[in-house]
This record gives sequence, C-alpha cells and structure tokens, in this order.
Amino acid sequence: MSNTNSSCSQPTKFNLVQVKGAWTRQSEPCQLTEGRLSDANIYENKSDHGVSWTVVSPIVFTYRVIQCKNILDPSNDTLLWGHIGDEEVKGTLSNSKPVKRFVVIDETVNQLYGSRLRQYFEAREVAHKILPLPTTEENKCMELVTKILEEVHEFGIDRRSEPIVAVGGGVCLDVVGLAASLYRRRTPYVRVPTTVLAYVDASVGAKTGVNFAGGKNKLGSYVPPVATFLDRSFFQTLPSRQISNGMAEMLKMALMKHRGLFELLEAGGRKLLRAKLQSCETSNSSKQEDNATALMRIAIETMLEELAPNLWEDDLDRLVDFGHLISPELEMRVLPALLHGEAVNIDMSFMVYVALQKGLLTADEKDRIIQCMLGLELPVWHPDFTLALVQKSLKERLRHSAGSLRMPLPTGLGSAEIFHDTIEDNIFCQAFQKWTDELSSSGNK
Amino acid sequence: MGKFCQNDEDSKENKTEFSLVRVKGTWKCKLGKTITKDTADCVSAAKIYESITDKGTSWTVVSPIILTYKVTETWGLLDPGNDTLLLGHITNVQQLEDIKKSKKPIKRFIVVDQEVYKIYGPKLTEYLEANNVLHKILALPTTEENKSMEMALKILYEVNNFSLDRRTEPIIAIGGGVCLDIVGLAASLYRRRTPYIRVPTTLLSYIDASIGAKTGVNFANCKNKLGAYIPPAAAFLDLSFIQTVPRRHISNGLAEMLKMALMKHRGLFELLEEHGYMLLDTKFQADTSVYAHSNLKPASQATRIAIMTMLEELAPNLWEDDLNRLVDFGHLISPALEMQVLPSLLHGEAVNIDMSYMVYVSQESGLLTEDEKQRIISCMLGLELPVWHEACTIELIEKSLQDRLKHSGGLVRMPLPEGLGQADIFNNTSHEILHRAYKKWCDELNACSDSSCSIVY
Repeated sequence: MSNTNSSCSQPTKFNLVQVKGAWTRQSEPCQLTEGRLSDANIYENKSDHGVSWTVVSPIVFTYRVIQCKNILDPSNDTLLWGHIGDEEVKGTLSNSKPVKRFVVIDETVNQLYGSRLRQYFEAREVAHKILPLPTTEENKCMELVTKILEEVHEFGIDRRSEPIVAVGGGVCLDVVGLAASLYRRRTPYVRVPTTVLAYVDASVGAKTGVNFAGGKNKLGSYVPPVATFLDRSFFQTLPSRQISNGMAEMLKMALMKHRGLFELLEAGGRKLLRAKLQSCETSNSSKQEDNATALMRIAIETMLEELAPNLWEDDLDRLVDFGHLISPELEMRVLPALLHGEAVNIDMSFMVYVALQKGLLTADEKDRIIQCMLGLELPVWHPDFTLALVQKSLKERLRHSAGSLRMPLPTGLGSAEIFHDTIEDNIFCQAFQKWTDELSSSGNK
Repeated sequence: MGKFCQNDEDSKENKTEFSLVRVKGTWKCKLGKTITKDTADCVSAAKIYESITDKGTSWTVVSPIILTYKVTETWGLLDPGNDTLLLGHITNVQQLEDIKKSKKPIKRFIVVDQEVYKIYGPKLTEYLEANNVLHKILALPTTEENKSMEMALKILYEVNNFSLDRRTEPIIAIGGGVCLDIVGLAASLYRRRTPYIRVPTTLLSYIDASIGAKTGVNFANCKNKLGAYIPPAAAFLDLSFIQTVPRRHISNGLAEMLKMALMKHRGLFELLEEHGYMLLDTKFQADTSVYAHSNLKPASQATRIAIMTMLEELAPNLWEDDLNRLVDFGHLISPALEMQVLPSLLHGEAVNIDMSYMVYVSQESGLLTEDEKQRIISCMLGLELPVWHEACTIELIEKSLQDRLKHSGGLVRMPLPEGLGQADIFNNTSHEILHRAYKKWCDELNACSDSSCSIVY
C-alpha cells in the first residue's frame, strides 16, 4: 500500500465461491449463489497509485500423534495406515492397488531393527525401499536431504497416498521431514521416533531442519508429518545416556508447567531410567507401570499444548525455549561431546540459578531441581559454558527475537514466566559464580 | 493431509475435544468448546482431540495457520520518494509510524537477476542510498538452467553473512519468475521462514509467478520438483519495468494472460484479441501513451483482470489441497516439452503450445466450435506465440498425461475450454480424441512452428 494514500477508502472484502469448477469473487453484501464457499478472502483497495489486493488464506494443518505397542508386528496396521484413522477408509485403501512405502532409517537403528522392518513389509506385501543413513548431528545438512530426495525420486511415490516414513532419532526425523516438505512442495511423511528425545520433542511438533553455516537448524520448514507413531519398546536398545538425554526435555516441560511431572521425575526418575521407561509386565509392580505410562503421556500433552497454538512460531514467547537460549551455542561449540538434551540440561541448570538470584525460586527448590537432574544422570555443569558464551548467546537471542530477551524462567516447581526486560549483568555474574562454585565439582555427573 | 481427515474420525473413535487457552504465558488444554474469557488472555484457533485405547493415547492436532500477503500495483517503484519498496508490505499503521519515526537505519538484502541489474542496477543503488538503506545487492544469473538448490544455497550463504532481523527485514527479489521462485524458496528455508518481497520485472512474473504462494527449483531434470508454498509478505507490481523487456518475453507473458482468459474470462479474451498486438507493440505502456483513449487504459485493465482471475483461483487453494486446478491449463504437457528443448522455448511459449493442442482436443470433444477454435489460434498468432512444435510429439503428450495421472492421485484432471471464457476439468478424454486432435493439430498448424504465419483452414 503506498503509504501516503493509506487513509483512503475501506477495502472491499470478497468471498470466494466455486461454481462449476471455477472460483469467483463475490463482495460481502451480495447474496451468495450456489457453490462451495472458501475460508479464504481477498480484500481489494483502490488508490491513485493503483489497485492493491490482500489475500487471506487459512491453511489447516492436521496431524495425529499415536501411542502404540509393537509397531513392527506384522499384524499391527499402524505403521501403514495409522495416519488415516477411519476404519472404512483403511479398508478401502488396503484392498485396492499395491501398497508402496519409502523408508529412511538411521543406520544404527537399521542394524537393530532393519530386518524386522523388512519382515513387516514383506509379510504385508508392501513394495518398499529402505534407505539407511548415518543421521548424526554432524551430517545434518542439505546434502543429506538431497541424497534422500534423489532416492525418493527414483523410487517413485504417489503424490498423496504414499507417505515417506522416517525411523530414527531427532536428526533423522528432522532431515526426512525437510526432504518431504520440499518434494513436490509438500509430500506427506510419517515419523517413528526411536529415541526418548525424539519421542517427546522432535516428533510431535511441526519443525524440520538441517544445520547450515555452523548454525543449528538454520534451514528448515514448519510442515508437520501426517502422523507420528510412538512405540516405547524402541527404548530397550537405547544406551542409558540416550535415555537421560530424552528425559532432560521431559524435565524441561515439568519445570515450565507441570508440578506433577516434576515430582514423578524426582521420585521415580532413577528407577524409570534403569527400566528404560518400559512398563513392567508383572502384575505386582503396577505403580511402576503407571509411572512410565503417565510420564510419557504427560510429557507429550504438555508439549502439544505449547506447540499446537503456535505451530509456526508467530509468537516468539515460547515456554518450550527454556534450556534453548544458550545450549545451541554450547552444543555446536563442543560437537559432538554433548548430546542435545545434555546441553539443554546444562542451560536449564544455569537458568535455575538465575531464577534463584532473581528471587523466583527458593534455595530449597533449586536444590530439588539439581538433585533431580543428577538423579536422571544428566550433566549440570560444563567448562565450556562460560560467562562469555552466555553473553554471546543472549546477544544472539536478542537479535533473533525481535528485540526482546523472552527468557523463560521457572517461578516455582512447575510454573514459569517469560521475561522480556533485559536482566542486569550482575544477576548473571552472581548466578554464574554460584552455579560454578556449587556444581563444577559434580561436573558431568 | 489437510482438512479431510477430521470428519472421518469423529464418527468412529471416541474423541474428547480440547480447546487451548493461554493463562499468564502458559497454554493449557480446556475441555470442550465453550470458554470463559475471565482468566484466559487468549483462546487459540487450534484444537487437540484426544482418544484413549488399550494401546495408549492418541492425539489429533488441528492447527490453522493464516497466510496473508499483499499484491500492490504501484508506479515509479524506484523513484527515491516512493517508499513502497521498503515499507509497502507493512499493514499495521502503528508499526509503520514507529518505523518512520525511528532513527534506526533500514537494512535490506536484495537479489537481482543479472540482466535486470545491468539495466536497473544504478537506479536501484541510487534509490537505496537516497533512502539511507544499509544494503547488499546480489546480482545472479537466474536462468531456467541455473534454477537449482545450489543457487538457493548460494543466496543463503550471503544472506546469513549479511545478518537480517528475523521478522522486520524482508529479503527482496527483483527479476523474472526464475529469480522470484529461487529467492522465495531460499527465504522460506532460512530460519524456517523469513519474510520476502517480490518485484517482478517481466510480464510473465507480473501476472503469474509473483502473485501466488509457490516457490521452487528444478531437480533431477524435472521442473519445480522441490519448493514450498510460502507466499511473500508482498509483491510490488510496476508496469514500467516491462519497457525494457524484449518483445519475445512480452509475448511469453501474454500466454499466461490468455490462459486465464480462456479458462474464465471472456472479456479478457476479447481484450487480448482486439488489443493484444497493440499491448505487445507498446510494451504495456499504452495507458500513458497516445494509444490511450479517455478511460480505456487497456494495459492495466488487462493485467488487473489477469491478476484478479488468478488470485480467485489461488487463494482458496493455496497449498493445492484440491488437485483440480483451472490454472493447470497449458501445464500438463508443457513442463516436459520445456525441459526437453531447454533453452529454446520460454515457459509461456511452451504453455501456449500445450494450450494450442488442448484447444484442438476441446474442439474434437465438442466443447468448442470450429469458429471458436480458429479465433483462439488466431489470437495466439496475433500475440506472436508459437502454436506448434515438432518436439511436441504424440509420445511426449502420452507420457506427460501418464505422469499427470501419477502426480494427481490417479486422475488426469485435464482443464479444457468450454466456449470462450469458460472451462471445466475432464478425466475421461479418450485415446481416439487425443490422437484425432493431434493429427488435426499437426496438419493445420505445423507450418506455424515459428508463429510467423497465418493459417489457411
């Protein structure tokens, strides 16, 4: 709009109606004729400089997050049809033409589950291509995406009805998600997280991405999968360190918004870690079964609550950013020494001291939180997490967050607030000092 | 994907609906649809549906994202006094005032097509300097052959080094369709979404590439195989750029205008039939020239109708959920043709050849009279567009339609004109008709492969 004329007439609002295959605009006061009405609108504004149109078009993203058991059991429909839902539709589809799937699987996961995956497809007579790839943080780049795209293109998939399947940890899901969003401008895909971290975090949001020019997740998209299938049994083959890694993100949600979840982790964290978050099958340990199930469910719910209303991060105030203001810098700097969740935990640990310094937490609450972290066998301190790193990260944060710090800080156990004003340097210095004094000896557990 | 799923699920599974309310910075699920606004500062348009079975819990997230963008006609975009290029994308009046009052210098990263830069570079630089804009101009050879992910990444390296604010410093793209597509894709990838602005400098991009959501690059020798559906913050349309466009490229753009006319606007068809040649001759500058009659303004009239008819078709289907698209007319066979003879046919030229053949199919199908068919072909020739090409063989046509079937969920979804200025989408055009039309098309038009003939029927 040429601004000197911004005070001119009100724009005309047009509805859009489809009649016999062609869309036509109709100005609001007019009687709507027979036809399909769109959710989109066009506003037209005339001025001396010419006409200006504003298009307003809502795009509705719908995706399913489904907990299941034994996803690789050939009698389980979920992997192939879980994204569709309705029993009837499933029936129709599985009866007509031959089913085809392209699967990208992390190399390591392939060694453990590749043959069962192949058996699943063979038993169900699904034409398939399984592409194992080394989906590590260091490889998380556009070249890997291109490789996937070349293979997908060669294999050939239907534009709508043959979703690409990603099986692996966060890196795998992110990379495949990006490849799928780019192919034909949008190809449906399905996520099967095999790590705890991916289960509670990477798999339930819309974000996809790769690293670029030394920056974490600098390129990507906000296109969610059609479905995410959550099967805890994959955790049985995870090293303990990876399970702790994922629990850091659960702890994040607990500290931000769920006291009950915190208490669960505090009381039962160690035990759940030992059990690799499996529910016990025996009847006399019902409490543990409840705990693991409850833990996973609450972790997902709290995350979905925060992501669904802000899928494209229009609102830069995000509780889920807790633990993510400083950790990106730290993680990239010491790559591959720290796993993502470990870096996040170190960030959170420091921020807990900042909250203490600001009087938002009591010393007792701080102690409980740190004890909980140690109980989950997470690192609470790191020598590369210097004051200089903190200052650099916060400067970056300011740059990327439209001029305000937007720092989430816990204000008790299971509640938080986002702080917009700049926090005085001395608060950070004092918090840092105390944090180092108290925790540098515990270091990495 | 998209809207369809919802209704199927509700009937079979036991689902609980949750709304999402924000209380003091934290989002919470609240049962049901009715929300009291006392304690909540915000109710989201998103919803979560939950169902619990013996296998565990299932959630369905339904989250609407509102995509908004402006398409603005302007004149003298590069006149230092015109602030459209820098501020025209801002809709919020308060925000605009704040920026104008602020001492903070404006910063912009601009990608310009190399050829366009040769002509408008100095004027652009002068504009930016006069407005005290901290800027970086990246001039690139944005041709169809270079339309690749490599070029998008090259732009991204430079953008990343320049350092832009996440929200308030849109990337600007100045050039033809290829330039706008590549920059649009790069912008959509950066930080997962960076605002960008399109300034089309060719007629084709003016009425087509610049006003929709599509971005993209070629891949594996296929046109636009990778991309995104992220619209720009705004597209600024200045007809004066067309002055320096070669004649052939103006015809190129006229093809897409003709497409919209044939699909849905008889008036536009008649405008092109009557004034097309003049518009071509005057390079769309007719409105201010001696050709302009009192209120006629044929150049802006034609472009406005072309834009409006296109926006009508794009807005309700921005992400192509519906694969039935009238705007696909001329685009079923032309992609393969274009890639095959690259770079000898421009996009619009290939589109026109496709449309020309499809007009014969329409006539054979009884949707067009012989007279209407001739009028259309004559119009095309009047616009100096090719109506036939030897590389457009029956094999290429058959392969393209087979690919179409593959990419369009099993139906060919062929838009065909029904009379002048109307159309419908067809799925059952027979082999015989396609072959008969092809034979007739070749017989009648193969002497016209360079569009410089008149047909004798």
